[in-house]
Amino acid sequence: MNLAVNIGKLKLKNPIICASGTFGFGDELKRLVDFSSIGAVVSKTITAEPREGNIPPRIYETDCGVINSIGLANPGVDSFIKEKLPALGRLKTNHIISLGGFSEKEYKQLVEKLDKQDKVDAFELNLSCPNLGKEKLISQSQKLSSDLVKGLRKLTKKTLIVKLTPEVTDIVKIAKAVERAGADAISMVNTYFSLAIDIETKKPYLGNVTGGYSGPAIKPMSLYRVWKVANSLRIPVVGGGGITDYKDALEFLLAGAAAVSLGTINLTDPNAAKDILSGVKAYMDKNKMKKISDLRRSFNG
Amino acid sequence: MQAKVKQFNVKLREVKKVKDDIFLLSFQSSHIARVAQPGNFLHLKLQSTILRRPLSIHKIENNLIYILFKVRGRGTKALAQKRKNDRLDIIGPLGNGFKIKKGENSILVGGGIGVAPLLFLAQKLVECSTFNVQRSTLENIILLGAKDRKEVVCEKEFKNLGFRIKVATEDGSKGQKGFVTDLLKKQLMAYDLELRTHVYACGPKGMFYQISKIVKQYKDLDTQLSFEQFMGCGLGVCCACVILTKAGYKKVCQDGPVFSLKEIY
Ligand SMILES: Cc1cc2nc3c(=O)[nH]c(=O)nc-3n(C[C@H](O)[C@H](O)[C@H](O)COP(=O)(O)OP(=O)(O)OC[C@H]3O[C@@H](n4cnc5c(N)ncnc54)[C@H](O)[C@@H]3O)c2cc1C
Ligand SMILES: Cc1cc2nc3c(=O)[nH]c(=O)nc-3n(C[C@H](O)[C@H](O)[C@H](O)COP(=O)(O)O)c2cc1C
Ligand code: FES
Repeated sequence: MNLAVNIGKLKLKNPIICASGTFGFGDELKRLVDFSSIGAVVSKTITAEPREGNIPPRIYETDCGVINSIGLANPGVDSFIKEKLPALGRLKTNHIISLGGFSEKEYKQLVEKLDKQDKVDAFELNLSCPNLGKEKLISQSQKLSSDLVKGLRKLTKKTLIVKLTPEVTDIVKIAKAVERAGADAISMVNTYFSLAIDIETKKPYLGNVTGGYSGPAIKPMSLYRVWKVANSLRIPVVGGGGITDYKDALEFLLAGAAAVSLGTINLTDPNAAKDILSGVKAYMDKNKMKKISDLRRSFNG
Repeated sequence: MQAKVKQFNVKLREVKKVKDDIFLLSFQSSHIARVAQPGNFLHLKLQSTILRRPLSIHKIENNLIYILFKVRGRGTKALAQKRKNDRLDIIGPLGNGFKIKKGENSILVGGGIGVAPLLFLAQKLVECSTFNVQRSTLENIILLGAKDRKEVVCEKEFKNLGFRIKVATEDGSKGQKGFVTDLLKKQLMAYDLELRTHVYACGPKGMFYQISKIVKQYKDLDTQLSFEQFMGCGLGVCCACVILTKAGYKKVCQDGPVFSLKEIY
């Protein structure tokens, strides 16, 4: 059985990707986690300047999901290069570096600084963080997304993955524009806008008032969007949102995702990738499938 | 992440009700018994919740690890319903615990269920002071604060370790009527402060704030506080669990849960 998948120029040994913000910068969990089951780790989103992050509490659990408002806390790109990057590359996985910016200039700075680093296997452009108190996310605008990707495409030959928000009227339209602008792949979905209120104190639970919703609750909505986009584009889609076990992962792969991303589940089970991969393998075995794309082809949708 | 952290699937030896809504559970782990420091916590996976729940190590005896917990919501409710021989997925021991100060008077302050990690601390304090020549002149005291008598637990255990015990309840149903911080104020006044004293506390934030006001006038007094925050990973990777310190946001799961009072107030 061949589990390898291609995302742009990047070859992953298997289609399981640990999503941004839920796995540190790359190697922090190495003593606890078996990296041989992880196709790639996406780093916590890195910004041009250091960021303290949002006012706590930053996380709230509902009956079936998790709201977070971390606010892209990170040490900034220079400190990342000096302190975190050297440790990467020793593990048997690929490292995708997630980039977040507040202007085209910042994204360009980030790509320029990181493009020459060997240990960076690919970029994921986070155009979809809901926790920055901005009116509009970049990936809510077809024009902003497209212009940004066009500009950055000229600066790097590395694989460029673009992460989209599900919070738009027509995600296919945005994804197509990003594809035309030169992206190698789409990553989706980032979290959904959300709010939770403590009725005793009449205050929001989160220090930042609102947050991004993830976990089991968002799976059906995310699966729908991944299915729509994967079937409208030529470039691969890294699909996820609410995956907790191998069955969820299989749904995304059947719906057309080239690879799957695990977010919230990593917080609970840092070794989730291992269980999910072995479940996917067993299913493929049973169904006499030889490669990951057989899953997609077998879907009777 | 510290090297001592591991993931275990343990079999529960016992889950019992201590009082009202407070429960005690235990399981065997020679690894945790060997490496754990007082103030460390364990991150427990529960079927009823999405995220794990952090609970402190309450005491360790003969490789048996104890957790003392109060039922608050979904997670702790499910935990209280566990039975002997049920399995439990835990990650730990986690966090930076209490630093033990030798050769000083120890005042432990527990607010409500905040007493949980203080028994393990008391065990270690006693262990350390056995080798201490000054022992006879030093004192170990635990101040227990609670809403009412039903929330006062562990007196016998502290007594067996040779601790002096003082209790305050808000409704006066046990010990002195009032707050545990009133006891602390009195205790500090009673001391000859040339003898150094160390305060270790765990409880609600309001209690910490009161403590910070009381200890301000004692320049040489060191105080360590064990904080709570809502957590994601518990492993230092998600940045969910921060609290504000004088040096910016710090992670309770990794930089804490124990902080020096001077770092915060
Ligand atoms: C390091 C550490 C050690 C601890 N040790 C112990 C211990 O030894 N014993 C013990 O009994 N407890 C301990 N606690 C507290 C314990 O973790 C909580 O009581 C437990 O997580 C509650 O889980 P639950 O599912 O039962 O309640 P939950 O369902 O999580 O709800 C608890 C309450 O918190 C509220 N809440 C939930 N999320 C938020 C939010 N983001 N903002 C504001 N309010 C919120 C809920 O509305 C509810 O009122 C410790 C906590 C930490 C951080
Ligand atoms: C605690 C937390 C932090 C996150 N931080 C980031 C981030 O820094 N950058 C990003 O692109 N996505 C971030 N995300 C979103 C996840 O990568 C993922 O897209 C989303 O949670 C949906 O997947 P899930 O339901 O599997 O968690 C974060 C999610 C969580 C729960
Ligand atoms: S809970 Fe994730 S960093 Fe502390």
